Amino acid sequence: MVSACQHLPATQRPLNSCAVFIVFFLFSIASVAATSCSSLSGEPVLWVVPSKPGGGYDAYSRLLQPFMEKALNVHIRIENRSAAGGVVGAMAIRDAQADGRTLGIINAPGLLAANMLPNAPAPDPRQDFTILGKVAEQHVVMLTGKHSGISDINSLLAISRTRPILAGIRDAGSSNFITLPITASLLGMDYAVVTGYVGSGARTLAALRGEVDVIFLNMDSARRYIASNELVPLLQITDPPNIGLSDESRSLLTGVPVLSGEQGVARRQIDTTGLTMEDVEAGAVALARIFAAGRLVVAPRNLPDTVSHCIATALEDVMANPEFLQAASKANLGINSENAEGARKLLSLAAAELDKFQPEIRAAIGEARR
Amino acid sequence: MMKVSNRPGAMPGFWRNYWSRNRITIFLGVVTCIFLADSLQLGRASAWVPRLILLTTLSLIVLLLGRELRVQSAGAGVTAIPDTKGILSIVPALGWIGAMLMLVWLLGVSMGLMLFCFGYLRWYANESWSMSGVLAGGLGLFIQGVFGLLFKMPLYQGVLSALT
Amino acid sequence: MDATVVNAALEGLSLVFSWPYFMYTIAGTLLAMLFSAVPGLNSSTLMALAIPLTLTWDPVPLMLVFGAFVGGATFMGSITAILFNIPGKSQNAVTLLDGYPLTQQGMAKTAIGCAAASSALGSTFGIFFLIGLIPFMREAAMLLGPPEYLMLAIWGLTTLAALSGGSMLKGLIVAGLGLQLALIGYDPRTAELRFTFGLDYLHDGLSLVPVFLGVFALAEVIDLMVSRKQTLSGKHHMEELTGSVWEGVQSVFRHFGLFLRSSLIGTVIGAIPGVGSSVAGFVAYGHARQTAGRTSRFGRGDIRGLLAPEAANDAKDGGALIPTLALGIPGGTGTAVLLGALTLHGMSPGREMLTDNLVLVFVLIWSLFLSNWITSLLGLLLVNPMARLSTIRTTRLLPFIIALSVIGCLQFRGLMADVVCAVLFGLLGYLMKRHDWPRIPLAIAIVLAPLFETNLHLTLRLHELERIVFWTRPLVLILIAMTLVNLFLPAISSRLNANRQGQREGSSAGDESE
Repeated sequence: MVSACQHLPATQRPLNSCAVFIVFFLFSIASVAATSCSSLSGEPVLWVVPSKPGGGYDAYSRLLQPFMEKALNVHIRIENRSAAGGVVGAMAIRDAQADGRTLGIINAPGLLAANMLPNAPAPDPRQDFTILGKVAEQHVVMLTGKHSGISDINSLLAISRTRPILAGIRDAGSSNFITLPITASLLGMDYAVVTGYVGSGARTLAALRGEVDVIFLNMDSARRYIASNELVPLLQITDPPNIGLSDESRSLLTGVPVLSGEQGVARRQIDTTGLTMEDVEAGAVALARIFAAGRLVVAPRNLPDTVSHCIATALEDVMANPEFLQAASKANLGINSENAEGARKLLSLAAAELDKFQPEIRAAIGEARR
Repeated sequence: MMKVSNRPGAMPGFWRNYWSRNRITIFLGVVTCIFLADSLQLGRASAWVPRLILLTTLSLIVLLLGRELRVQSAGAGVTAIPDTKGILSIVPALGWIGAMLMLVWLLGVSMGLMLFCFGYLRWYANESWSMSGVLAGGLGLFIQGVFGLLFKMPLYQGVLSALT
Repeated sequence: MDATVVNAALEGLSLVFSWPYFMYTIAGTLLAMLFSAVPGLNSSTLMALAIPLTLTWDPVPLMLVFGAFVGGATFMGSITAILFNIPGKSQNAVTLLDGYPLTQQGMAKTAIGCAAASSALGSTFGIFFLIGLIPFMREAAMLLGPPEYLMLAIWGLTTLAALSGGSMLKGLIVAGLGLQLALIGYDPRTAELRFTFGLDYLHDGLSLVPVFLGVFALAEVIDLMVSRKQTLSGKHHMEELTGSVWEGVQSVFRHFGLFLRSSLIGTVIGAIPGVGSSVAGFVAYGHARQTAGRTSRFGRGDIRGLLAPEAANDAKDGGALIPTLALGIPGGTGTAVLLGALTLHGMSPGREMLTDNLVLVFVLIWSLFLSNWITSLLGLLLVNPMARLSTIRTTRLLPFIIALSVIGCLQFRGLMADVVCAVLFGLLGYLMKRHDWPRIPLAIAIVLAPLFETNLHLTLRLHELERIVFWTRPLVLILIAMTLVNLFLPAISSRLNANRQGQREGSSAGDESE
């Protein structure tokens, strides 16, 4: 714009007009940036949580709520829509209007697994959402009740040689459908599932009552049960992340073996499973990449770029905010964040790894839906 | 009273009477059948519990209808007067509720309920203009004050506000 | 009792009554009362709203305020149920069965007095039961599994069907209708859509709030509009109202055995995770009716039909804290939100909380206790103005009742469709009332349906895998027996009565002929 005026002699430059034009152009850029987030002000924004109140997703959402309200200058209304392992909540986000007024948090690995069934109603996180960022990663632990008679992973493996291990899991959209078949194949373990335990509390009770042998919980949810000696951790499904796991959680997992890696249990089971070292490593890498996709903040797909950029930037700022991190630490919630671009990459990697285990995962879901 | 055979349906007006006495039961039976028909397209895992409930309910409905048939047959000679006048008396009430729905949908909860309250008090309850205005205004203030200001809860704004 | 527990209890009590902490409880209670006066809004919504505002608070004020929210919210729903036949929350649906008829008979003061007294005393029972159970909390929370939950749901359904007045068959059919309606939406296991008939609104299923407000509140509104009844009580002046607050309060002590049993029912059911807050009142009402004998006027203004559910509804708050604090497993939605709040503040419910933070636990408990008494006492003080509402012309009251119902529906999800749904259920409720069909089994069935379906699947699966043996569980067998009694006892009793009547008539006819 400036160069457009520079060809004219100084005395003839319509300085005022050019200046006005430049100012107007700059103002319009600024106003576009302003109006993209300012377009959200007025009406409240709905934040969908695909689980019941009090759970992990709910805790992260309520932690983010005041910070996001301040960053976006809107009122955020949290709505819990739990059913079918988070699928219903995810559908609610997918089917909402793409105007920035509906956001939510999803379990990316769980939805990827739920998508594997034919005619699956579950949304595909790769296509059905606008990814705004990642909040946290799941660090999944296999646990048993303290009265189960199973003291460690070796005793579990000994039992598995005599009968199938019974796992209590949630429902359709649960990432347990990934954890269980992959873990079972790496350990050479036969298993059966019982679905319908909604929430970590229900699964914990099932383990405590001896209805099931093992359950899988994210460390955020498992922490209080391990600390109070209700549940015994048997196995860490992935290596503990370098960041995003609270100090307390780390200390509770001291001495709990990891599935894969140099000292991993899967390596020791090679003779039983017949897998090669490369297979075991591939499985470990797969699990790590799958769970790295984590808990994503999303909006319906085809969200206008300006709105999407505005919300994603606000989310990124919030997750770097020391006050937010301090509040998360106080609540023992691990934050392992990624911006929108990073989250999309992790999601693609997770989906690619998951494709390799399609037969096992489909078999697990099919067995559960009998 | 003329003595008639005990065979169901032998009496004039028998089925009309039966329908009048069992309208709700028959309606519930129809609803259950519609649900049952819809359950045919569900997968096995999703369908068996609903079908169990629906078939049980349908059995109970058939049982009740059968019992009513026996009772009515045994009490042959008693004719029920259809209650059409009573049913029609519901129309004004439904009309006002329908009007309330339209007002709230168009104008939002605050303005819509205020106008409904005013109209109802003035033209249905025959209250004075001032009383109608005061009570309607009080309602509006209560809604805005308590929900809008005190609890800062978003109030439904109505479709017309979305257009402006 | 352990000295540690006693010391923590005393320390908690002193904190609650100290300045300025006392004001947190008062403020929380008043907010909860105002909030929950609107049908459909409850303490869990209020707590959810408060969580982001209280993130930076210290633990003691947090516990005081949240305890006050839980304690302050229950009673107001009873007031609207008694005066206007509007259940403030789903748990108040059973309050109106005998509460509203009392108002219609001009005994609103008695009804409110009874509700206030049984609420305050019931919550006291629940709280002291909770305190006594602290060392045994974990074991108490483990007693029930999927088979027990399943039978509890079935027993609950048959109890209300059997006691719904008139035909038990009609009660069971309506319960079946309620179960059908509760199945609308996504299958909780497979996420397959069921019975939505192409309507997007039904994807999430039918929500309790519009259904309850429609079936009870709007049905009553339509009935009042059609019947053109002058006032709710049939009286035009306060002086014409019969009964008194004191009579209502006394009734709790006159039926003290029933009060104790109902409070125990509420506490125990509140302590069962996942059963839901509505069930306690229904079960207590069913028990009261079963034990009332022939002198009962249940459904027509029997004070016992009000006393029992009110005691149970408030006792359950203490019970619901048992699994929440002992295991970190919420007893219901309200305690689930409370659990979320505690987690965000770095407090871990469970053994850790009961050892390292026992004083805070008692702050929560005492705040709950105090707020229950504050609401009941305020309720008693406001009896006259509230009872006066039953003498006001219905034409002036109806717009406000409709407004409260509409606000309750809209504030739930902000969907106009919820209001339409409420109106449709209002029409259904009116027709049911007019043709003598019971409505309560519909309500309880919708509440119990998720419990029924989930635990049916779990029970069958665990039985198939031989992890449980259904028929050898004592509590299951007891509940089966109670269910069979519910189903067959009314028929057997009426047949026996008919036989006795026939014999008496036969013998008196024989005497006459002689």
